[in-house]
Amino acid sequence: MRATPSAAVEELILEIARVDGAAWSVADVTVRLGFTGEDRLALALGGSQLELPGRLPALAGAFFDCPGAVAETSSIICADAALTVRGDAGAAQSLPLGVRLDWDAGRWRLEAKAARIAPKSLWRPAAEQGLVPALDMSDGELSVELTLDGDAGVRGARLDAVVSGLGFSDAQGLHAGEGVSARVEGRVSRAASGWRTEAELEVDAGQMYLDPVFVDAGATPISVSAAGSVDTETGRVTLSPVRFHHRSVATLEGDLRLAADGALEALDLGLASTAAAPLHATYLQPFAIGTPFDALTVDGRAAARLEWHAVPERRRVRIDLDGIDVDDSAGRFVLSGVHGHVEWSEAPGAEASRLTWDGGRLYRIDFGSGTLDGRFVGRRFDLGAPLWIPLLEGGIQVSDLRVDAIATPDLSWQFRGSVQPMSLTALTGALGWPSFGGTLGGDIPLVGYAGGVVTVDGSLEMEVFEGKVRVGELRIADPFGVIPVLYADVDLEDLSLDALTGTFSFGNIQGKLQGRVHGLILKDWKPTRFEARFATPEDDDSRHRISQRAVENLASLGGAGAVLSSTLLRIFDEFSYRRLGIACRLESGVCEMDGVAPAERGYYIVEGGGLPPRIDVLGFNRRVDWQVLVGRLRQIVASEGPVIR
Amino acid sequence: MSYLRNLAAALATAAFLSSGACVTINVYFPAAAAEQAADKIIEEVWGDDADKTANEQSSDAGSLGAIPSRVAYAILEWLVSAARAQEANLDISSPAIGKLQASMRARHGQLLPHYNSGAVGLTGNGLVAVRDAKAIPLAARKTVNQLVADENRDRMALYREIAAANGHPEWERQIQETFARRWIDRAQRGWYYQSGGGWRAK
Repeated sequence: MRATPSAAVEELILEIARVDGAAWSVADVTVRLGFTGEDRLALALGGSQLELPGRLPALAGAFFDCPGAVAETSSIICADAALTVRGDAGAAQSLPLGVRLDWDAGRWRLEAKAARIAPKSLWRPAAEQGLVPALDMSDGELSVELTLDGDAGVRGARLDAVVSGLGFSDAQGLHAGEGVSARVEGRVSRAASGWRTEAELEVDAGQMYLDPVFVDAGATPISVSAAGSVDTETGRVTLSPVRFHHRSVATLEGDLRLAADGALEALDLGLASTAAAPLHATYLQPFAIGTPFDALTVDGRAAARLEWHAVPERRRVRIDLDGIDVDDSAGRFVLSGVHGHVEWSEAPGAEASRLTWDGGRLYRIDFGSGTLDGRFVGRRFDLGAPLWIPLLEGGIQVSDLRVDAIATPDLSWQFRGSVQPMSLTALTGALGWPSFGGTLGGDIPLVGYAGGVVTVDGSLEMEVFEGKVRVGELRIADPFGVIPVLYADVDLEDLSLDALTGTFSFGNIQGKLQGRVHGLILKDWKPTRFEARFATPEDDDSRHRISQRAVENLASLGGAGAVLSSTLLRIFDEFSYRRLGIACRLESGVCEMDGVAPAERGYYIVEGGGLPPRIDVLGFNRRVDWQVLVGRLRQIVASEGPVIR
Repeated sequence: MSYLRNLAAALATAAFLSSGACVTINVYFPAAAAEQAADKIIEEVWGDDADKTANEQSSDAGSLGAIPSRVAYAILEWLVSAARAQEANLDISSPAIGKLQASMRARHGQLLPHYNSGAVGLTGNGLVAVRDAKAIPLAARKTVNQLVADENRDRMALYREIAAANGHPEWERQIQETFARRWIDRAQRGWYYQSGGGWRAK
């Protein structure tokens, strides 16, 4: 140490090679004190190779300059000081400051103020030191006030900062803000075993995008506050309470404990009952983008509680739903009036979850109210009591439902189902088809979903038109995707043509019909591929009659080339036939047609026989455009008018 | 050029034959037809924004360099002409393809300003991606994420559907690759596309 008082004691220079504190050190310390007037001082402080306590970075050099200090008996006031700091790599950064130091009876207080500075002048050096994330601060104005007080050591600190018109962005633009105004207030004071802290942040203007969430703080201001303590011995940080309030969107309140290394030790957080619509739109929907559930409208109220502790048994979530309505804007599903609670825990031991709903819709099928009971542990959900879904005047009983790999791409589920006969009148009505009576039932040993495909084991059975229709090998790929694909094999047995033609105003045919539609593929619920064949059963001994109108309609299905022949003239309303049938193999929009038997240059759709008058209907077109065929079926319009021979 | 790609395919077949292995002749991927189909759909989706001058089929000259000698070339030419005979048009008339096309066409107007600004670019695998979020106003970034996700969902379904509609689900990847090239070839000047891991402006 060397002190060099100048001759007239106008300047005092103090040079110290190195100063070491408990957790800090400075080398080449220089203190210059110039006496420029009665109570005026020129003060300059400098040092290099600064090692600072805590997480603060080392500095290559720091220089504090106060050319016009005013000294009083127990204070020094520096209205226009400057602090220049040089990091290891970065260039020197200079900050204009107003500083005031007061002391009295062993206590001191230091106030530093920096007004209307560019935020980046503080942020950039801090980011270079890795203290804060690298953000490009484009605009804005920052005022900071820092107060330290103490005696032998620091006893407390207080930070007030106001920023306005702040613009910031990271390199990718994933975390960015524009015109942001915020106020930060922080207080730290000595407590018995460490420090007591209080902090508050308020953002009340500007827009922020924190990927994938967008917040307009001007419209819905955000405030965060926390009070807590830092234990100097263990390094543990306890914040209680922590409060996050996003006006009109969400209010979270709870406690939080961090280990010395910053790792989360415990979290207990409650979401106060809130309107679900803004909560969903702001914080949930952005995370669902890209899933089938990214186009939902949600209404009602929700509350939640999250508990996260080091032991898995104490990692729990409870969500309470109150009158929630979910509506998929793509029109695929609706669920309304959902009440109840979902309990989740990471380790076994979760409370039971229970949800009830008033009703809903899957595509065009409405379903009634239901109650879901079960347990939700880890990534798995198990149904408790069987779930009854009223549907089309009947319903489905779901038992042994189990869902695995929840919230992963490998999501799968399965259940056993039993169908209480449903009304085909209701089904056809819902699908907008011509209405016909009958029931739909069946036993479904297993319905499973894995790899994006729903597979139905067993078959659905329809009792319809006095016969049976069985739907087997049913699979639906990508059920909520852009183009759902349905696969099935359909078999028809002993249908009454009388009942069938009566329903579709096709004219009248009497007799039985059997058939199949195998390899059926519906894309976006429209047929794109199948192999269909319908014909009079071999052993059918019922009365075989066909009306004039039905003959014309059948002939039209065979295309313009269909030829109609009768043993007698076209004066009869009704004819008899031996057998009839039609086949279509659909592929690439073309229906490859066939009938019951080959005929010269074509095929028989109706082969005459039995008591006269008899009739033959022949088809000559082998390839018919599917859309054309559907159009014809829809309108049942005879194309060319049958040719009679 | 499909011709050259067939050469490469035939070359692989020839190599296989000469090794004395048992060969199953597969139906060749109709590369030229796939490009035509892609162009048709791209014109439908992008409308006037599809670059007309890039109508020429893209070249794939790299494959030619693999051919060792003139003799091999002659043999290959014979093999290839047989292979080419199997090429058919790709059917893109299925209702599902029509629906996807219409959905993408309707979305294009919303994506266009972001192609133009460089915010959204065309990826090397026939999808789109946010290239520069900073070029999107803050309030619109979420919307653009949604547009990109929706567009990619449609595109993946389109590639799968074209393969399925033509009875060759295994062509999905090749169809996707074909589209990836054609989207980029038909892109407007100034739009960004992915190339060798980085982004480039056309």
